[in-house]
Amino acid sequence: MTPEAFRDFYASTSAKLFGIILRILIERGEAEDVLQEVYVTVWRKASEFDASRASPITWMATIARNRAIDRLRARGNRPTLPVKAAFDLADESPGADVLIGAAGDAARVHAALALLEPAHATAIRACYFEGSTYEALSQRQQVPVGTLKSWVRRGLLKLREHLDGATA
Amino acid sequence: MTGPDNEAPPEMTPDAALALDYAVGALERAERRAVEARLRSDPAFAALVAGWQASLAPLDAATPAVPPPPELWDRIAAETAPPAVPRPAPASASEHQGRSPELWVIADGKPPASLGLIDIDDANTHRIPAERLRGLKAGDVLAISIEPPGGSPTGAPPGRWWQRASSSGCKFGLPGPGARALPISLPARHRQPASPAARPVRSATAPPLHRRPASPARNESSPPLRRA
Repeated sequence: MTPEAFRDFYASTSAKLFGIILRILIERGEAEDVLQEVYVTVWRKASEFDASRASPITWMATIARNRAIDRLRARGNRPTLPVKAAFDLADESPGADVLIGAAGDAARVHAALALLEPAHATAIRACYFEGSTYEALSQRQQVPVGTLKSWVRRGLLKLREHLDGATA
Repeated sequence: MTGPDNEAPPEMTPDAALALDYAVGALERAERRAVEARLRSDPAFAALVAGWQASLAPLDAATPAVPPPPELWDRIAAETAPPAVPRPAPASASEHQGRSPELWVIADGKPPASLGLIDIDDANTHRIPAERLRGLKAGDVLAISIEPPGGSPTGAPPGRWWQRASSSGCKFGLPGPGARALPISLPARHRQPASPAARPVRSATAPPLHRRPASPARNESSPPLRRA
């Protein structure tokens, strides 16, 4: 990758990745540090990228999510929103940007999540979007860990069917 | 209510469930470390994880994009800047007044061959038409020598190099399949004001590696690579 191509790649992908990282870490300074780490890693490891297995943005989003979660786990706690607010966020309905068609993928995701048992969808959102662990979520929701695992796993199997079915 | 041993749906193996747990991001720190160690040594398990990561990727579409602050790019650019090219034979710009830099290619085990003079009058960028670069491979070494006006008088390579860089390095980029020229940037300190004496004219005695004249052909179709 040339420096010019890298700059263009940053311009077209950084807002998406920053959104993912910020949603997990909430704290902006920390999210900026992680975003910087992600692009430096990608610059150095561009040759390891396997185009037959993932799109570049999927590959980068996976790196970004993993780095953000690592940072969150190292911190030990989430400086956060009270439980109620967190669940209001988790239960958000599609926003205006989702409904105008430019965000068709987002609408498809929200539609697929809406087909799940509400408790399953809420648990999946908390894990995937906010980086919550089963343990933390179990305490937050006053539900046994085993039950939460079951909700997330069953919910994701269903979600995968919906999403794969929608793309097929 | 499901018990601890009964949390995976019947169609899931314990490995498949663990791959899902990791991909969705629900594991504690120690569990994550254990999974990552296994990813490096267990390709079948790594494939399960990659499969879930791909399946979950569409969820990212539901996360709103947030533009990072503009200065963040400066931090990244600084950290990913190409390393400075070593200068084995440092020389001051004044020493080079009225002399001409000449570009050479040193292909694997062969004697250096001239690629012609570099035009330093106009800008700090020089372009070489792609047809003159045919046969140039990643790993070949590009080098610059400082010669009398007109180039190496004997056509022979110099005794010392002013700058060298591998063509796979950052300073000299090999043109991609669609590119028509190889951009090369000169250090700012070597830029000189235009003067007729310094205008490069290819030495008639220099060995013609390619038939084209050495005067730089500017290719406006792609932006020049500039020094940061």
